[in-house]
Amino acid sequence: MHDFELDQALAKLPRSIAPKRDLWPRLSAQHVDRRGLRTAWAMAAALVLAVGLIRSGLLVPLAPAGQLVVNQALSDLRSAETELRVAIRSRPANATLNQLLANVVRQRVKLKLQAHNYS
Amino acid sequence: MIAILATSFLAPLTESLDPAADSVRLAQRGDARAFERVYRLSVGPIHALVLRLVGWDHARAEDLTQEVFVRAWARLSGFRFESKFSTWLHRLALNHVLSALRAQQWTTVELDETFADEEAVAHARSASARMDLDRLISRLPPRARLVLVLHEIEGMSHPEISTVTGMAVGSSKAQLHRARELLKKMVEVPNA
Repeated sequence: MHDFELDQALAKLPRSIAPKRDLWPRLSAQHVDRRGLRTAWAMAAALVLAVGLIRSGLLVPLAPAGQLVVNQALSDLRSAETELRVAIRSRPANATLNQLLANVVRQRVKLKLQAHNYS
Repeated sequence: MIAILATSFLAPLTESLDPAADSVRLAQRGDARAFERVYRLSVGPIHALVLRLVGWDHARAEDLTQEVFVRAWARLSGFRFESKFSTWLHRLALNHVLSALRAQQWTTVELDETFADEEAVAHARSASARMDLDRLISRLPPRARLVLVLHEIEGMSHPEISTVTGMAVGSSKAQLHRARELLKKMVEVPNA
């Protein structure tokens, strides 16, 4: 066999090969479905704590560094809100998730007003 | 600064060319259905890479492929659309498989080079008429197979292979030459 023939044969090899069995069901059951809820919980808890710190004065939003902190917190709150909405879509009756969402939305609005007052 | 500007300019372009981009963005927000779409789009190429690197051990390859997607799901928030998602996922898969192989001293074992080559050729020749090229590749000595798969099938350059495997660029080139020569010998049907 010449190099050219080997190159041709290598080029013809399939670049995609499906597993013999579908890996998704086990992957989904053991890892994926659980993370959405865990992430939403963790983010919401961390953000409630962060916003609490800002509001209590332990983390003072002074410009410009303080403004960056507030902007980051607002961005994180928006992400948490999105995550919670996704989690609620699959568990609409979950009271805890709905309560967390309400808290996050409330915190975001308050923080936005606070940031507006500082500027 | 130029790099930052280039990245910020190119990121949306990269994203628009990536068929998985929309699903990836949703999956980053925790959407499991979007991640399933990402999985369905990506599993074939990832499994092909893993399968070849482990020498067509199907059970091992399926375990590793699943682990790759578990890692991808866990690290998805770190993907910034600065490259195609498939590139990011391939790199993640490659690193994971190489770690697994190193853990079982698969690539670090010092083989008797001559014996390994002769054995590989003899083994493959015995059944060459009915074996396809992928099967022959699976008979290559581990390091030669690794470089051949990464260079000839995955399209990686020698410097890239050097970066991910820790092998010197010169060694990578030598292993590729070795793999190609072995493959050429393997497909020659011995004279009866």
